[in-house]
Amino acid sequence: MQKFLEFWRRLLFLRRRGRFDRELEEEMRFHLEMKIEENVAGGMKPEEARYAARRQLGNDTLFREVSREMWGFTSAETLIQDVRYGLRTLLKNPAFTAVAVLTLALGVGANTAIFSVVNAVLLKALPYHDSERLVLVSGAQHSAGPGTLSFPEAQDFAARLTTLEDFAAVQTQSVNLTGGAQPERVRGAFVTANFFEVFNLTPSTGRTFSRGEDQPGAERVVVVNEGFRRRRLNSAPDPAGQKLVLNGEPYSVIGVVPSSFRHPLDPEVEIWMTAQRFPGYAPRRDARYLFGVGHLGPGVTPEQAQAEADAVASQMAQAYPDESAGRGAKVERLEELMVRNIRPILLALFAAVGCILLIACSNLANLMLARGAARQKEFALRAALGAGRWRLVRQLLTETTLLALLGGSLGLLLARWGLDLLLAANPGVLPAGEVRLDAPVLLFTLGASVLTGVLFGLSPAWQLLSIDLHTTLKEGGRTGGEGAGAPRARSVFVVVQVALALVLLVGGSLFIKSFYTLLHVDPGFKPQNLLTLEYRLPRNKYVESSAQWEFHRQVVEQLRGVPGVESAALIRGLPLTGNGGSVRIALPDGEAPPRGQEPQVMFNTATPGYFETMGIPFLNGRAFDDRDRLDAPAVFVVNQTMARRFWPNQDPVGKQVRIVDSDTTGTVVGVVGDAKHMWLSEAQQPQLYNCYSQSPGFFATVVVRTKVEPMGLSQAVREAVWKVDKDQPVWKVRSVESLVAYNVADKRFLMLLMAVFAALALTITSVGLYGIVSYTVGQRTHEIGIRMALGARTGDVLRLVVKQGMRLAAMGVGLGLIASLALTRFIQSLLFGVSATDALTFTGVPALLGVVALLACYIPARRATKVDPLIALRQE
Amino acid sequence: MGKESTKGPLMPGTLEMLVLKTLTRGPLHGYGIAQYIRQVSDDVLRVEEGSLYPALQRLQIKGWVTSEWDVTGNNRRARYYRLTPLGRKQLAAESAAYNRITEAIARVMNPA
Repeated sequence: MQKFLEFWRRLLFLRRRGRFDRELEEEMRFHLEMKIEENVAGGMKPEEARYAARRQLGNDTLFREVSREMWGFTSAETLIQDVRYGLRTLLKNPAFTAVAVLTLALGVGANTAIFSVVNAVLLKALPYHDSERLVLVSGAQHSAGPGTLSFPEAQDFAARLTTLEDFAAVQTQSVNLTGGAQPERVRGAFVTANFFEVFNLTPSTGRTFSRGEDQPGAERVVVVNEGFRRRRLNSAPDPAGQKLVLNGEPYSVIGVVPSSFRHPLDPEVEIWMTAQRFPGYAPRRDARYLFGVGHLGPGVTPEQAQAEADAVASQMAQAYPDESAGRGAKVERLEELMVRNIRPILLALFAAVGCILLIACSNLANLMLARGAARQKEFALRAALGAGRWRLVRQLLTETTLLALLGGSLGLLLARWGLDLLLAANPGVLPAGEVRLDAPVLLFTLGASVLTGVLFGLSPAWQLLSIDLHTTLKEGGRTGGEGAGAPRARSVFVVVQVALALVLLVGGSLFIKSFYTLLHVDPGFKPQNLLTLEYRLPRNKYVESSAQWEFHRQVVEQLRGVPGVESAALIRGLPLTGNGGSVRIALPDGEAPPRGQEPQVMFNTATPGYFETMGIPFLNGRAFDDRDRLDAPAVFVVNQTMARRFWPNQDPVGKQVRIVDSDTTGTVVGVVGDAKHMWLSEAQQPQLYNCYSQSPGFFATVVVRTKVEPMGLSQAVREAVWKVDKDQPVWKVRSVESLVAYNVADKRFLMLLMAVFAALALTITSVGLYGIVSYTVGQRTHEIGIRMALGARTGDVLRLVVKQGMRLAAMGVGLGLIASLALTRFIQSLLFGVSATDALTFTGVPALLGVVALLACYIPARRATKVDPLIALRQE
Repeated sequence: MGKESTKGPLMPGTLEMLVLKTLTRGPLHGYGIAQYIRQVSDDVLRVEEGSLYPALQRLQIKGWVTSEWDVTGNNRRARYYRLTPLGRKQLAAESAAYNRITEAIARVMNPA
């Protein structure tokens, strides 16, 4: 209350501020006059009385000043003063201000953009309750990647994992929705009945699954999300009870969940069915298609859960050796899984922009130091007139903070544009909808700007504190006076800048080289002019293998008839689509390894024209053909890697291979070239193909070689499939070239940004180097004049100036090389086909930087040689 | 010089207490306050009289004193300061504290 009233009185004072000075003066004059009268009355002469009165009153100007200040909001008012003065100073030096603000804007902008991505991807929790405790439980085959669990296995894990609080099993797959104008594909999930409880999700209408609905024999029910209700159910207010035909079977809608709920395995899932409705479901232990999700119990670490899962898995392997021998389990935090691939990329980028900000900072500190030297007289004068040193330092820091805030605001603008560009140029790499300039990001920008301001304001402030007033003022017209430490500080800044720039350039070059190498990887097929699409047959409509094959065969035939199509084929999992699996094999001729430890090979199913259509070369033996019918003996084609690994120095054609899981034995009839399957960057895997006509199945990927621009045929190929069955949805109609681009998208993203950042660093650094050499030349004009008057030649002067700059550059390069050697191994895992200590990079980049540095020194040095000794000497 | 040293600067806050005490006798202008303090203290507390004015500002901000313009006995305009009830309370508190300290100091300086 007291404080508030005080504040109020101060506020009221603002209204009579103008009158106050006048009144106080009058009041004190009255005092003075009374005092004079008193003195005169005491017997003094008028002159003497006046003098004595003044002395008794003291320094009235000072007292008036102090009185006035008492009323002010002192700190705030000084700040406003400082800001005003700072703005005026900045406006007086537009060139300096522009360079400083722009440098900062680039630094802060890059940092803001990358931080907003880091914030959205790495720092924000997943939008699930207790998301930090959510884990994914998957099955594992020795060292192979995450595998799936069968329904009985999932039930066992649910019952026996005590470290988990809850456990639901899920899988996602596209679902055929028919009954509308066109057959449609919907992203669907198949989940155990407790799925929505694990995610603590209540339906906005109706209900979710109840216990037992995930058992065979239960009704067919489906939960949909709001988006689906709007789009497909005409926004029915209470859609419960409505019928949908999914995968050819009738389902009843029982409830609607909010669209804000994103399914953890696939954010685009719109409908949920129970786990036993998964196409091909069988209650067998080896019918694996599910992943487990659940929460770690309170205080349980993922490692503890993993240990328990290991124990449960090995018990299962002992109890069911036929189905589970050699199988393990993996427990991983969901948040960890989601960011595992992108995290190192983002951290590398974050480190890069951090370096850029440091470079910008030291560049600005140098600029300020140079300017500080020029302003020393101003400061010395102000100090002599009674300004406290700290007051001056405050003034200086206010100025730099102002600069930083200006730069920060501009940086924010740059970040906005940059971010839009970034997201538009890199579809799929970043979660576009979630990267925003929100409160944490703005806070970060503000913090980064202010910190930068203080950081680069500190060096000139320190310089200011060490000014010797007398010397500076005495030096009169000469501008040469600056603290002995300042040139050294500037040199240190330049060396640091060059070193940081070198680190970024080395990093950028490594990523460029890595990407270049990746782009020149031979995928083993020719992606140009290839169009692809996918479809999945409804099981109840095509029960028999022969019916399935008949459908596939007709599709290929129809496609071949489409004008513009050169050839067409089917493959189960097309390279670079993420589809495709592996099988364990045994060679009946050789020694049988223990059960569960048979070698694994990639497995795929192809129609006769596949290799030809893809452009995968045929090396040996024969391709699949019409002889390979359902009832004929099984035949296989293997790739070169498989041939070399399993039959070194032998002809694989005619050899027998047994697929352990399906217990089919067949004969190798041909050898084809290697083709990359999951990643262009992968090490080549052994690949085994069987024949579509002998193993038709439901899912197929169409691949078509076109004589025209492939996407131009997208509607024609859709219609070709509908000629066979008008109710068959098709999806993922895209060019294979787009798959290649998508496959390298994250590397491309990293490479592009790193290249931009390296270029930015090089620019800022060369400007900095240029600046300091120019400044030194300016400072040494007099000395150079004397040298030239004494007979130094142009070359001598040039050498003198350039040598000084290049010495700093060389030191920076040396330091940068050491730092790069130490740092680049952290990015080794992000590189492809290039070593983190690539010799060419580590020699080429310093050379490049050296040339740029030479140029940055040479230009101002040239100016130095133009110095007219007479003029230079006369300047004194 | 030796005599001067006892007329050194006042302890911080002392001047304000003296002003408050002076004003208990009724509203007074700055010159009046200075004159009274000087006379009563027998010139011992002679400070630069101008320093009275910053102190008066502080007292006003604190709300212990208010001021208004008025006319003096011989028809001259002057600003008169008046003690507020809050100021009276403050004075009571300060003189109590002052008495405690001086007594303590006295006991140390002149042990019985």
